[in-house]
This record gives sequence, C-alpha cells and structure tokens, in this order.
Amino acid sequence: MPEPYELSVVDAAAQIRQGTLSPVALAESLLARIDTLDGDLQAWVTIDREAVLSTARAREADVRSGGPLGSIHGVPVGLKDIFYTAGMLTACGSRVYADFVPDFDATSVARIKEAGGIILGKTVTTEFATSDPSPTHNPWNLEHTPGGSSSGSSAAVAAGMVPAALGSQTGGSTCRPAAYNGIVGLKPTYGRISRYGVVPVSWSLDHVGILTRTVADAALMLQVMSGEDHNDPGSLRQPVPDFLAQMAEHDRPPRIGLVRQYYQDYCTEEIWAHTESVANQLAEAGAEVEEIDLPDSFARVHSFQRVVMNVDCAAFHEANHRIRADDYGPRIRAGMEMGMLIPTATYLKAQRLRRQFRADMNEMASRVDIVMTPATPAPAPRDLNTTGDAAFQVPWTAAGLPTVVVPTGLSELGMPMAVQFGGPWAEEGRVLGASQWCERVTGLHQGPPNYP
Amino acid sequence: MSQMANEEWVYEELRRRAVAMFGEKRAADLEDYLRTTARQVVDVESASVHRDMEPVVQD
Repeated sequence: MPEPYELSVVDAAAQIRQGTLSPVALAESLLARIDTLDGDLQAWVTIDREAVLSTARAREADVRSGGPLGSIHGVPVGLKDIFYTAGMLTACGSRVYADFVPDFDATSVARIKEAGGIILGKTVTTEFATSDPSPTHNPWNLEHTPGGSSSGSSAAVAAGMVPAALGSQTGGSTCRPAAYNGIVGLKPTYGRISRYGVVPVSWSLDHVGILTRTVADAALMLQVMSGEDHNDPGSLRQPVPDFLAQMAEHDRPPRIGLVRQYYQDYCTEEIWAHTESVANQLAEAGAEVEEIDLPDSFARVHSFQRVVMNVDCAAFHEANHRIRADDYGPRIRAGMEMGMLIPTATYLKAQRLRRQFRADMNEMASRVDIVMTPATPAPAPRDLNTTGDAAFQVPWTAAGLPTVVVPTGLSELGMPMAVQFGGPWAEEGRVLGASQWCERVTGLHQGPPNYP
Repeated sequence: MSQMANEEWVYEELRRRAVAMFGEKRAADLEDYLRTTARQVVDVESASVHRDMEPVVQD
C-alpha cells in the first residue's frame, strides 16, 4: 500500500471521494515529506501549515457530510511563486517583490480551489521566472540544476512533496524542468489557462504550465483550470472540451511525426540515440513513425522569440528598473535593458514573423497525430549556475501550440531523459491521449533513487 | 542592403542607445548582450514577411 505522498492526483482524488483516504492524512504526509527533504532540495518558499491543515479538515468535513465534491477535492497543489495568492506572499524570487502580498487569487488558483484543491504552498521560482538560477537542487543529483524557471515546482513533484504543481512557460520553463526532473510537463495552447494574476515575463508568450507525475494527472489539472477569462485579454474564447474524454479517445497507437531536422544536430549523441530508441519502441508497439520537416520560418524563431520576450519584459519592469535597477539579478536586468533598446518596428516585425510561424507550425503539426522531438538538448547540466537550455521548447511556446513532456529513460550519469510531443492549436486532448499511450509503452515509471 | 541588415551597424546603434540610456560603464558591461541582440535584430529584419501579415500580440 503506497504512502499518501506517493499517490497521483487521480488516485488521491478517487480515494478521498470513496472515503478511503483522509485529506488531512494526505496533507500531513506531504508536509512531513517536505520537512524531511526540503533542507536538501530547497523547492519551497512559503508554506502556511495551519491554513493547509485547516482547509484539509474542511474538505474532510465535506466528504463526511456527503456534500458536493470537486474533481480534485482534498488534493494539495503547489504554486510557483509568481501566482497571486490572496493574503500570501508572492515574491517572484525577487528583491523587487520581496514584500508583495496580493489581495486576490489568480484565476487559475481560484479554479483549483473551486474544484476542491488545497493550496499546499508556494514553490521557488527563478527571479521573475527568467534565467537567473534559483537555489533549488535536482532530486536526481543535488549537483545538477533542476532547470528553470519552474524549478521548485518540478523538484517538489519529482521528490513526492506534492502530486501536482503549477509552473509557467515563456521559453521553456515548464517542459524543460519537467524533463530534467523526470516528470510530466504540460504546456497547453496559448490562452487555454488564464494568466490573470500571474506576474508576467511576456504578455505575448506566457503560458500557465502543469507539472505532475502522470499524463492523466496533467489532463485532470488542465480540465480544472481551463476556460475563458474576461480578465485575460489573451484568453482562448472557445468552449472547454472534455479533455479526459478526448484523451481516452486518442489513447491508442498514434501516427508520429519525428523531427530530425535541427533537433538531431543540436542535441548530444546520447539524447538523439535515446530519442530514436524511444521511436523504435513506439513503432514496435504499433505506432506509425515517420520523419517530418520543419517549416522554413523555423530558422528565425529563436531570434524573434527573444526580441518579443525582452521587449515585453522591459515594458512590464520599466518603472521599477528606473528606480531600483540594482535590485534585479544580472540576467533579467540585462534582458530587459536589451528590450529597452530594440526599435519598435523590429518588435512588431518579430510579432508578424511569429504569427506566420504559428500558422506554419500548426500546418506541420496537423499532418500527423503528434510531433515528437527530444525534450532537451542534454540531460540536466551538472552546474547550478545555469537553468539549462530551452531551445527545444522555444518554438512551441512562440507558436502557442500544446506540448507534453514524458520521461522515458536515464542517461549514463543516471539523470532523466525525456521526449516532447506537440500538436495543433487547441488539440490538447489529442496530444494528451497519444502521450498517455506512449507513457505506458516507454515511460520511466520511477522516481529519484535518493528520494524514493 | 538596409542598414538594419548590417550586424555591425545595428550593434553600434544599440550601443549608442545603451550609452545614452544607461551610461558608458553599463553599456560596456552589456557588450556580450549587445552583440547577441544585434544578431537577433538582424535576423528579424532580414526576414521577409507578407505585407498583409499583421502583428499578433495576444492571440
């Protein structure tokens, strides 16, 4: 019988609904896990233990009284420390926001609470979700980066301190740390989950991301948080599908488009050999695997993404930069300063190129069930002064298309390796279904050995 | 060739702006970033885009 902290979101929610698991016992198990491990890992920045336990007691009372229960009733969730939480510090890993306490919840946080979820606490982020490294360590090896910027959320989920956590992705900040920590990462379609109440890096590129240990958990969390929000001008204005039903429908051998172009040259031999081995395993299990070409517009994506990100970042931080530039970390400060220098016409040209690129990538992704690439150019680097390389996520973020990262093996050094699946605009159900099938065939299915 | 497609010209222009906005010392500290940004600007400016393609900001 697994310890409560080992349960997935789906299993914990089912057991709570059936009355065989107490939300209080689950919360206590996770808090004890944090007490034991977080000295090493430094994944958490704020935990209100009394609030967690009191909410868990209320959720337990709901179960006992036979009241209506949400889809994640009684299940704790971690939040990257850029999500607004009413009355709780939201410091963004920054001296500039060191005392910031929002007076409302981000829409995504409110939806988690409406579905019965419990906010376990705030996880460590790199400064303002950019690339100055955070103090968090990788649970697979403390000398390796956990990646960023959702470093605390990823390490916490991997080490069994919480079954699900929210991240964000402007470049590669959800799916890259998911790959580095051997867990599942989901970056939905742009606008699928409201960004209202999430401190921005770039209004044009920011996505709310989901970190879990199974694909099914990611789908459930997506269902909980998706939906139009008039407070978010980028919110997707279409009905929310039943992702779980779509996932079940697509949980079968898919037609996979494997991208060799660019990705093979940019990654290590070990990563590419692993990716081909995963593709072969999937083919042997019934998938149809073919190679697929990238659109010509791919060639400039890393440039126009960076131009857009730096200018948007500069626009948000400009007022604070003017009076306290020295309070910013070196990389975010330099990035926003570059954004202040880039001509307006160049910024708008970058946005025009991005729109063309999105259409081209969507057309490419529509030719198969899912597109497959390695998740990262290399496993998590043995270097705590970097958050790694987001090159394999950037194109999908710039295009706003959904991606799922699934852990699929270990490197020679014992660090996780993963593949990334992408799909067309608003087709999360298709990507999740195919990813779940692939997870069953090739999934890693193990946690960090030092934190079993 | 447009000046915006000339990396050295773009770099000098960015550096001139950096000196004006942040001062000589900070501009010198940003040397590597200015070089990288110049490459990105040239990459963007040298791309062709259909004249009817409007920019997308939040969509």
